[in-house]
Amino acid sequence: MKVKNNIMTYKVEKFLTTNSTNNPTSQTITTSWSELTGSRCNLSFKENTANILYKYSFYTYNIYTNSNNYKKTFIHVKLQKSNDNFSSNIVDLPGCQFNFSGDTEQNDDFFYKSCSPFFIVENLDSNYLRLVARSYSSANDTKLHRSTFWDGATNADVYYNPTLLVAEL
Amino acid sequence: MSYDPSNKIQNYVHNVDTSFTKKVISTSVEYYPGTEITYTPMSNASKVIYECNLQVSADPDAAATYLNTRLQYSDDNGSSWNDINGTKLFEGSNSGTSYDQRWGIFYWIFSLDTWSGERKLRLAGRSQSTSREGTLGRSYNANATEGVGSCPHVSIYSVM
Repeated sequence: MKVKNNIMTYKVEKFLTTNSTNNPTSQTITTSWSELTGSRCNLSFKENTANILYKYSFYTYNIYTNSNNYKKTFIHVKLQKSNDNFSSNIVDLPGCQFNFSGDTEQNDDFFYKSCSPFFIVENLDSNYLRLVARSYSSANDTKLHRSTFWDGATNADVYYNPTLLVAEL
Repeated sequence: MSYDPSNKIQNYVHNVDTSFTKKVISTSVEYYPGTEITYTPMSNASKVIYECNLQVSADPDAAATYLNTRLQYSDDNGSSWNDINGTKLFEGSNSGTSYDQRWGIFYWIFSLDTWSGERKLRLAGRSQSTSREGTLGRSYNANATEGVGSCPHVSIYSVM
């Protein structure tokens, strides 16, 4: 706090956090909602509410079933808030959801793709945020974070660390 | 009472190379032009974030394009490059037809442990095979004309 010419000025640092999950376990998205690895954060802004930038990046990997058949990635993703670390208070944030897919008709789409959405949440009144996802149907399940395809090989094991950045605006 | 903007992001550097020209990526690991940045983190940074947005077209292999992209660093001014684990992405799709004009926008966020001193960072990659190639930054316009390349947009900053 500074006092200058009898005027008090407070310098309040705004909140910012990053989180990147190193070497993540492969995560399968099915028809049940599940939390995306590393997407949960605990915010500590100074006022009762805050405008928040929420940015998250992850990778999706096509699931092989059998006999050269693959599931066709099609998932629903939504942002949720909570005031008790998602123990019992879980609220979907309106306007903060999207779908992500490859070609859902063609049998051989073989869709592998990263996804990096961001949201602006105005007047957020809770201290926890996370992303959850589910597939449209069991034929549209997908895996996250790791790939067996790499540099021409088909049996590799590489990964893209899911990364979160949350900032008070 | 007044609020100062956050000081949590410092030393923000960007690279937008508008002299960029498109580049076909084949089966040798090649530099993605326009993505190299020389960067020195802030001394008390907790993380360094490298972000890139770029375009890949399914050309010359319209039926299927798969690129293997990774972030690399060099501590010897670009004489040698090292892949960074946690940044490796196998991405693409299979159209099934040789006449499909597909374009992919890729936006990657890489969170890096900090380091001391100057370091070069860049993206590099290769295609899955010679029949799965793609083109970075191909500009394709109405009436089948090609224009100035669509360059990558890169930023890097220290998180305090």
